[in-house]
Amino acid sequence: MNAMQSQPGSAQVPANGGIIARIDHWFGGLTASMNMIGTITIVAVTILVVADVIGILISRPIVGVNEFMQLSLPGIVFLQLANTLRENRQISSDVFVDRLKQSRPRIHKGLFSFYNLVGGVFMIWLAWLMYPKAMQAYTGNFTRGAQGIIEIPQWPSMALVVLGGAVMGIQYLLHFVRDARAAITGQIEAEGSPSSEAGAQ
Amino acid sequence: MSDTAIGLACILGVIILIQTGMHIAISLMVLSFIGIVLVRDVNVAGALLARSAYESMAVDSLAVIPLFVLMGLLVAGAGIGRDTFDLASRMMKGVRGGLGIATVGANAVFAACTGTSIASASVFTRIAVPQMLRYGYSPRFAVGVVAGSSVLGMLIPPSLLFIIYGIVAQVSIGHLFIAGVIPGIILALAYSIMIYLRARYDEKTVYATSYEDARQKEIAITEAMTGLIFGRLFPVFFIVFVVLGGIYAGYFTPNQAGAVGAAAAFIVGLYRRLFTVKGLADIALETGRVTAAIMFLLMAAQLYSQMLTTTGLAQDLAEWLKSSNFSYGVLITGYLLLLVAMGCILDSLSIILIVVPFALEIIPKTDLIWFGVLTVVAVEMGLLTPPFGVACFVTHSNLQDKSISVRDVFSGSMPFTLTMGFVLILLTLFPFLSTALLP
Repeated sequence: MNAMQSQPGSAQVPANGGIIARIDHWFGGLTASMNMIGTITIVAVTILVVADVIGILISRPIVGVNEFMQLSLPGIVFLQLANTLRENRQISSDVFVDRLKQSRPRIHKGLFSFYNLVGGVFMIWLAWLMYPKAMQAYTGNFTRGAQGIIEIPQWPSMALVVLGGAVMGIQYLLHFVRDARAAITGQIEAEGSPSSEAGAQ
Repeated sequence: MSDTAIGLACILGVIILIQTGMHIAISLMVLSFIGIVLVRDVNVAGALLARSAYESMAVDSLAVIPLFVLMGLLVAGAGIGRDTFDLASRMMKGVRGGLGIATVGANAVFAACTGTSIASASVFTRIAVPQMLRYGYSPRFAVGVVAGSSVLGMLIPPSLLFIIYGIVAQVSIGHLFIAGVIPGIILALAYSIMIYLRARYDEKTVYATSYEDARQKEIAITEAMTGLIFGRLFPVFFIVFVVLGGIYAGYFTPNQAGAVGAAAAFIVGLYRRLFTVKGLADIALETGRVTAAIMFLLMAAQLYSQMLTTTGLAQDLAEWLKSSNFSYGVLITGYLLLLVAMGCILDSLSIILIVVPFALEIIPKTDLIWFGVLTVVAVEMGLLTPPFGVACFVTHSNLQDKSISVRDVFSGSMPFTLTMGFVLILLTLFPFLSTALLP
C-alpha cells in the first residue's frame, strides 16, 4: 500500500543511472518474466482442474491433478514474489508512515532502507536454507503421487523456491541501495502515484 | 527473559514494525524466527522456516486461493455487476431509497460470484454511484451504500476471508461457505431495512434535497435502466448455481468450484465480447500478484503460529484465562471487541492471521464454523472504519466525482458499520443462524 515505486517495465534505462540502475533495469525484466511463468502456471492449474471435472463427468478423471496442483503452489508463489515487491504489491500498512514521508523524507528513506536490507538478507538466507533440501530431493529423486501410477518429482518445485527466494532477496537489496542512497544524498526521486490497495481484501 | 516474555516481545515488535511500514510478511517471519531462535536454537528455527516455506505451501487446500481470485477477477470483467444492478434497480423502482436497496441487493448477488470486497467496491462505485447521484441521492449516502454493502462480498460465499480462516483454523472451507449464506442474507436485509427507514423518516440523510425532488427526476429520466432481458441474468445464476450448489451438494471441492466458476465467467465474458487479449492478460497477471502476496503472508503466518507454540505464549494465556474463571460469554465478547479494535491498527487479513491462532488455543471448546462467521463479520467492520477502511479507500479511488472526499465515504458508511455491529450481536446470540444449513 505504500507509495514507493520503481518504474516497472519502463522501456529505457535511466540515462543518469550507473551500474546499479542498469542491473535494476535488467532485473525488472527478469522478475516480469518469472511473474509471467507463475501466472501461466495458475492458468494451467485452472484448466487442468476444469478438465479433471469434465473427466470425472465422463468417468475419465485425470491422474495426478492433485499432485501437480500441490507441487505447483510453492513455485507459483516464489516465482512471483520478486515482482510483487517490485510492483509494490507486498501487503503493508502506510497510515502512520505517510506522515513521516511528508515531514521527514530522509528519515523515511533511511528507515525503509533498513527494512529492505533486513528483507534482502532474510530472503537470501531462506534460499540458502532451501538449497540443500532441493539438492536432496534431486539426488534422492523424491516424488509425490501414487507409486507406479504417477510420480511427480519434487525438485523442480523446490528449486523454484530457492530461485524465487534469492531473486526476491536481490530485489530487496536493490531497493536497499536505492533508499540508502536517497537517505544519504537527500535526493528523493519523484515517485509514481500510490498503487491501489494490495488486493487482499 | 522467560519464554513467554520472548513471545510477547515478538508480538509487540511485529505490531511496531508493521505500523512503521515494514512489509507484514517479512516482519512476521523475521521476528517469529528470532523468537524461536531465542527459545530453542537456530537449527530448529531454520527447520521450521523451511517447512513453512515449502511443505506447508505444497498442499492442495491452498490452491483455492489463486482459483477463487481468478474467478473473482473474471466475474468482475464479465459485466456481471451491471446486470445485477440493472435488475435490482428495476425491481426497486418507486420504493423509497430504492436505488440504495438495489445496490445492496445487487452486491449480495454479485458477492455470490466473487470473494473479495475490493472487487465489489470498485465495480459498484463505477456502476451505482453515478446512477444514484443522477437520481437525486446525496453523494455521501451513495458512496456510503457502496462501501457499506461491499463487505457482503466477503461474507456471502465464496469469500477470501473464510478461505484464510479455514486454512488457519483447519476447518472445512466448504462448510464455512455454507455457513456464511444466512448471515449474509440477514446483513443484506438489515441494510435494506435501515435504508428504507432512513429514506422514510430521515430523508435528508438519503437524498440531496428531498424524496419528492428525486421522484420527479425518476419520472423525468425515462431512458434509464436500459432494456432488461432475463437472459442477461442467466450467467449470474448459472455461476452461483455451479459454485455454491456444487459445493453444497458435495459434488465439487472448493478447488473444483473455483476453477469451474472461473471457466464459466470466462465463457460469459467471451460470449459478450467483453474481454480483450490485453484485458485477459491483465486479469491473469493480477491474479498472480494477489495470490503471491496473500500466500506469502500465509507462509509467514505459519511460522508465526509455530513461534506462538514454541514460546508457550498461547498456552500460558489460556492457563491464565482458565484460572481467572471468565465466563464463556465474556470471552467471546472480549474476543470480538478485540477484533473490532484491531481493525484500527491492522488490515483484515493480518488480523485473522495474527489473532485466530491465539484464539483457537484460548477459547475453550467451541463450534469453529460459528466462530469463523463471527470472526469474519467482526474483522470486516474494520473494512469500513478508519484508518484501515480498505473498502472506503477503494470506493474513493474509483470515484469519478473527485469532490467527494474520503471523509464523506467514511461518514456515509457509518450507519452500515453500526448495522453490522447489530447483526454481529444477533449472530453471536443465535448460533443456529450460522449452522442451520450445515449438513
